[in-house]
Amino acid sequence: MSITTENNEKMITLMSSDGEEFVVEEAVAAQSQTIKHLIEDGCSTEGSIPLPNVTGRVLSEVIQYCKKHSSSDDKEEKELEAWDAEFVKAADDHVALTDLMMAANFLDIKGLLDLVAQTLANMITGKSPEEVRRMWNIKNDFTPEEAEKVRKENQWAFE
Amino acid sequence: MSDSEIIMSLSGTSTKRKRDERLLVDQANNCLPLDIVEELLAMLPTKSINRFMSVSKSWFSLLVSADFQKFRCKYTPPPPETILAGVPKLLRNHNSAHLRSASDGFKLSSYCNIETPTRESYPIQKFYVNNFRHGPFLGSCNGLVCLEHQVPVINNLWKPEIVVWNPFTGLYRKLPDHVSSSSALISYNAYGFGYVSASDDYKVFLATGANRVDCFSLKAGSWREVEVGNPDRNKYLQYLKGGSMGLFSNGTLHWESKNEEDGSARIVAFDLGKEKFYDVPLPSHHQLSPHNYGYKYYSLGVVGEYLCVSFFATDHQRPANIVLVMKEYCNAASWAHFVSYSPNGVCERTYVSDSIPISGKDGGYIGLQYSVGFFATDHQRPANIVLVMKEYCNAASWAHFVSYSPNGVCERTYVSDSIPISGKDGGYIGLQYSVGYIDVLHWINNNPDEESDEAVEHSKKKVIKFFHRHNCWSAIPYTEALTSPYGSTSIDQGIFEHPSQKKACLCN
Repeated sequence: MSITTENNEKMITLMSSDGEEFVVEEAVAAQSQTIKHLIEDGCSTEGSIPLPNVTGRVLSEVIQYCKKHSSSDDKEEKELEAWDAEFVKAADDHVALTDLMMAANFLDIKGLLDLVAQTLANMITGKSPEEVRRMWNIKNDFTPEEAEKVRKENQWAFE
Repeated sequence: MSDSEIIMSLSGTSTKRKRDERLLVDQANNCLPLDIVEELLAMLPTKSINRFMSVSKSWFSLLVSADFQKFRCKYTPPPPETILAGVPKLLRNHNSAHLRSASDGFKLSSYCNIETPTRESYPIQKFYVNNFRHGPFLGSCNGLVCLEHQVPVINNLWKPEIVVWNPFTGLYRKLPDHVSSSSALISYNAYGFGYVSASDDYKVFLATGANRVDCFSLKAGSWREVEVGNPDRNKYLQYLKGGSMGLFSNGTLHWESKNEEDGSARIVAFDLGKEKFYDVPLPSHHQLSPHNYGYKYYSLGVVGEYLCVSFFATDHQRPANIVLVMKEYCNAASWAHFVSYSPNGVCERTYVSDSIPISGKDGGYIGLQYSVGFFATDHQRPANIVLVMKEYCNAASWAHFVSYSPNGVCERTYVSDSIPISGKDGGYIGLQYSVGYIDVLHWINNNPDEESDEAVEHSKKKVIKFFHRHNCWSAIPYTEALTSPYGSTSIDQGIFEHPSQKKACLCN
């Protein structure tokens, strides 16, 4: 489905995995390389673009980001940076950030991906492997001997 | 992980895997796809990365993979501290005697990180260097560092051990014993380390006292003696003397040399792929100033991918430092003027730093920047002056970068590589430079019991001053290892290398 606003701005509809619909300007949505390619391939002309990997909650955040970044130009860089900082602060929890990062990865929005990755990286930089495992529920599948060996090889990193 | 995998990840080569193929590892564990992990971990400092190798097997194999190293270098700007943990690019020609008294081992961190030492990123805690042979660094290429240190055997005996180290990942590989390993007394006439693109291999080159050349192939994992026939022995090998590091460029190691008959300058080269010696032509004399008197003492360097020579000459009626660059490898006619500098007074030294990639906002490289430093008597007093060439080989783009003239004698300047600062969006938002100068503060008596009179005489306390991008100067003292006798012969060459950078470099 493709509608046009008064400004002659082409609108497209995005549908999240849980069926929520978002009508956004094409320029905003096209910040996602994935969506851009779908539009180019003509996938947006018949109804909405389904995004089966992204929930409505996450998608609304992504759209928020894309809107901000499509309306800003270079001279507002400082302001944009501050906005970005607030944006990731609002999702200040590694689960929400991980969801956001996976969405950014799937939708191929480099700026957002890097922003969130950097935020998460800052979060875990000083953490222990055990803390990291707990954050993402990762199983420690090393045998005790292997674990000892890997740890020993990287002993300096634990000091 | 098998040994061969370690080599691969160390040398940055591996069979290429498509990123898609390694999605969705840890599926059973809350589904954190590995490419997400990769994006995320690529932003971490080396120390965190090494620590997180313990998280799980899939994280381990990701983090040690060559793909990840490449990804980290190329795609995501390494955090500043990682870059600082790089290595001084060029430590050739340096007299390593000053390392002798470093009782707790050679503190590589002194070079590595000017603000917060990261000695721990060096693989070998106890690092002893044989003074009489050469410095610890045998070479550096594509961010890998080849170095030699002494390991204890029985009865207070030591033997040399060569290590190839990736400071970016902390991974290293100890090479098997070399033919001269049995005796620390055998000295190398020349050595070097470089990359052979044809075979995607790294090689260590050692020319030992007995006119013997050996190459170690990282891929083959073994030493091999290079057949050098009598003609080549006479023509090339005998000119490699004094234990100097070959400068790597174009798959070839290069040494400054002199013809014995007339003392004229020449460049001896060794092709690491073909394992053959040859001569690289120097600029012809008409390209040099008519009154040059320093050409005999030229020094060899690499700027960008080009071989260059810098020399001190009398140009336009006054002394100048001149740098020529060879635009087409091995084509004598392609030597071209790169920069010359003639201050009001006497210009003593030149060095050329490696190219500095300038990164754009999108995180990609948008250009290269070169810097050249001079020591000169300018404005009536000695000064270190650094110029940068903002556009390669565009003479008009030379711009003053920084100069420093301390109250006392300013001995040396060195320019660090640019330090890309990563912005919130993961892209580069700027560059940070630091320029260091060595001021002689005062004389100190450094353990007179242990050192010879000569050593005491040479011991000076020094500080390094840094010029930050915030237009402020700050000073850091030398560490014990660097204040030790015989001075600071190595710190002037403390140009930091971005490990992801492809080029080796020089200064003199």
